[in-house]
Amino acid sequence: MGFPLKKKCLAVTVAEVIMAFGIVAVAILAIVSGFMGAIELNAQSVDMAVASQVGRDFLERVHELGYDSVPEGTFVFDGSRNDPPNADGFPPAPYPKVTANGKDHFLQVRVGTKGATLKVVVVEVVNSRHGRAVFETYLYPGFSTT
Amino acid sequence: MKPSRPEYATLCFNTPDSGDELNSKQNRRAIALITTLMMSVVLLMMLVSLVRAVTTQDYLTRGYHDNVAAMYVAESGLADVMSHLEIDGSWQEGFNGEPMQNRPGKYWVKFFSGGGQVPDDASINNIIGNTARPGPRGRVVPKGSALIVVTARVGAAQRQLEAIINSSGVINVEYPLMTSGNIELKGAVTIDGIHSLQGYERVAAGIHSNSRGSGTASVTWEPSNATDKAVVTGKVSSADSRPVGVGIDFGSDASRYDVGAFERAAAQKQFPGVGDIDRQVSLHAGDPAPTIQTAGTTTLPAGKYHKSGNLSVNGDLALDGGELFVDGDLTINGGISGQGAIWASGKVTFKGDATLQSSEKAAVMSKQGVNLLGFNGEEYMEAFAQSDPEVRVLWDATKQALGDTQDLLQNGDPATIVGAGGPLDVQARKLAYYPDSAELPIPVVNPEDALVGGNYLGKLQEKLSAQSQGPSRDFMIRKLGGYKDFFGANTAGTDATVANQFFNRPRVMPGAFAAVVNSSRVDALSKLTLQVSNVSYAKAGSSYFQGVIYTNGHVFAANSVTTLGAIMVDGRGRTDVQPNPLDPSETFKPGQLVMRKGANLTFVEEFFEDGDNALRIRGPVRVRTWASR
Repeated sequence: MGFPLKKKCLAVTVAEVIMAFGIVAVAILAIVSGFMGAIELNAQSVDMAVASQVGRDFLERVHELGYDSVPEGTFVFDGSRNDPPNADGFPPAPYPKVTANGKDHFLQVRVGTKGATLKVVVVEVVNSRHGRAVFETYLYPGFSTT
Repeated sequence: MKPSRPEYATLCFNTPDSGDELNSKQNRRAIALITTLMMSVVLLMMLVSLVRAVTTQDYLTRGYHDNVAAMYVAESGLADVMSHLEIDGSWQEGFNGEPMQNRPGKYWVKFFSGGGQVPDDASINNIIGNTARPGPRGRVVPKGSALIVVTARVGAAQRQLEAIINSSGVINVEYPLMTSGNIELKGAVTIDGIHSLQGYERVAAGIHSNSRGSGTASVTWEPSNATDKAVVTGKVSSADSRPVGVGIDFGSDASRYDVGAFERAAAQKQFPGVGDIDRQVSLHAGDPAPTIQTAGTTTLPAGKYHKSGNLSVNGDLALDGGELFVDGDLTINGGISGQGAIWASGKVTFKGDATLQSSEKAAVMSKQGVNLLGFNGEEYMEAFAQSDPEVRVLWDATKQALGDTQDLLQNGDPATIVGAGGPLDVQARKLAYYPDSAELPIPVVNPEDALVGGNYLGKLQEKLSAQSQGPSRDFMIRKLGGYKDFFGANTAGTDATVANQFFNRPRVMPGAFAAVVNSSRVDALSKLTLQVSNVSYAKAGSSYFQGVIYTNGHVFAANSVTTLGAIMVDGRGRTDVQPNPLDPSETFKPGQLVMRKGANLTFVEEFFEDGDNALRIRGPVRVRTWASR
């Protein structure tokens, strides 16, 4: 006895091999797409971390310069449009942009007021693809934690 | 013809054909599939791990972002608290999930005012308190300050910070006279210092200019006559690097001045942080307007008052704990006394002096400048005395009696100088009116007859009243009247009551001298000594101010000025000039100080040190300590 069994064995093995190929193909597809997603997510995460740090650096600089350095009223300074700083040099560096990992992170700074005393500064840091950080702080004259 | 087998099939069939072999072949069935599946599982596990690692990193990054955002929200909450406390030191409403204006995020501040254990997240407002209070986590909240705990949340992130803030700060002053511009002194100048008004412990006091100098000297002094001298017990310093004699010029005759030291190219000194005067004034735009008397004394009780536009006070201004905010120029045609503060967005002009106050002091904050056109009563009375022999006799006798009284208080045996009929009582009867005086006035035949019956001050007042009306005359009448009431018979209450009132709050008050002397309050003599020495010190009529003057403009003193405290002229960042009120062709720059007829500046150290006698102002709220929890 030989051939019939051998024939059966052959059929199973071919199907098995085809299935294995299929599984490998699906697995490779999943891995590739997962890997691509992970890379994307990782890049997004890195960009956000950079954006957060840039935003933080900017607000620390604003705190350092103090209440009087922030203009009174409502203003928008958009780094992506390359809006120039005012005559007193506000917004300070790192406005209008920071280049990190080969990407430009643009700062958009909005200034407003709250009540009779407080000045409000909102900084939004974005790059062309992803990674966005937005921070808001109120400034009171003489108060700086830096 | 048998179909040829594919090569891979030989793996399965190109083997000996036996039972064991068959079993072996059967065992190897699906081995590729199983292997593939196993590899796939491994690969999938690796993929899951990779995705988890990346999502964890993303989660952490977002957490970091929210954590940073929460920190700024917490700081914003603290800033919001400070802005409320600046306007109302007793504010305790707090915040319960106050949202940020533009971004997600909220903050909470809960004030605790009850007794017992203070919760960990509670804030304590002790800004208007007089004693320290317990705070959360065993902290102690000093008087005049607040401990603020802010809790902030953004997304899943939460931050908490605690800060000690202070609103009624002690003004930190190193020099009794400091400017950002030039200092120009003329006439007799004495700048000295004492530690406390309660004693005579001397401390060195100097003057300083932050001006780096160009053109005229940063600090100049020149005598008005052959006898004028400049005495400065501390240093005369300037940031001007030019040599002494150029940058600091006191003249070539070194015998005319006595200065602790000259210092050129000195480091720039820091001005006290009193905040933006304009902003302080505008913050109180909603406060009630003060009630100003058309004549006499305008008293401002404790509270805050706002006047829109220029304000002129024809008479004295007494601050009884009040704070006056003037959105314009303030002119006081009399004196200023009491304890409190004046904030003016324009100029402040004093045409009178301050009544004598030992324990009280005022703070004057002016955006555009201060003019001290101090009325020189000594000069006025001397001129008056030359025109009337009786006035000459009365004026000389008044000065003599004041001098004798001071001598008795400083050098006499306390036990023997007090009591009715005692040496102090005798001097008081000379100076002021006593209905039971043994000596009755007589008609004046010779000028010396005016002295009979005492009451020199009352008689001088009458003489002045007979003169033509005018602000100078009225000013002197008021001033002599104040002294007369102080030295005169006590009719305000029992001697013990009035003496107690004086002891608790020493000031020039009617009947105080008689009450202390007649009730033999030996323990109040030191306070009485100070009052009387101030009468002498102020030379009964020269311009006199007790407290601190701070301006972002100029200071101009047309007459001899006596100041107990400090004058700060911080004109940095301003360029507008102001005219001399007496000669509009002359202008003063911000930061410039000009004193034309001499100055007596006594630095009172305790005004500027933390303590019961510190000069405190309710200015911007400041963070003293800050920590993230």
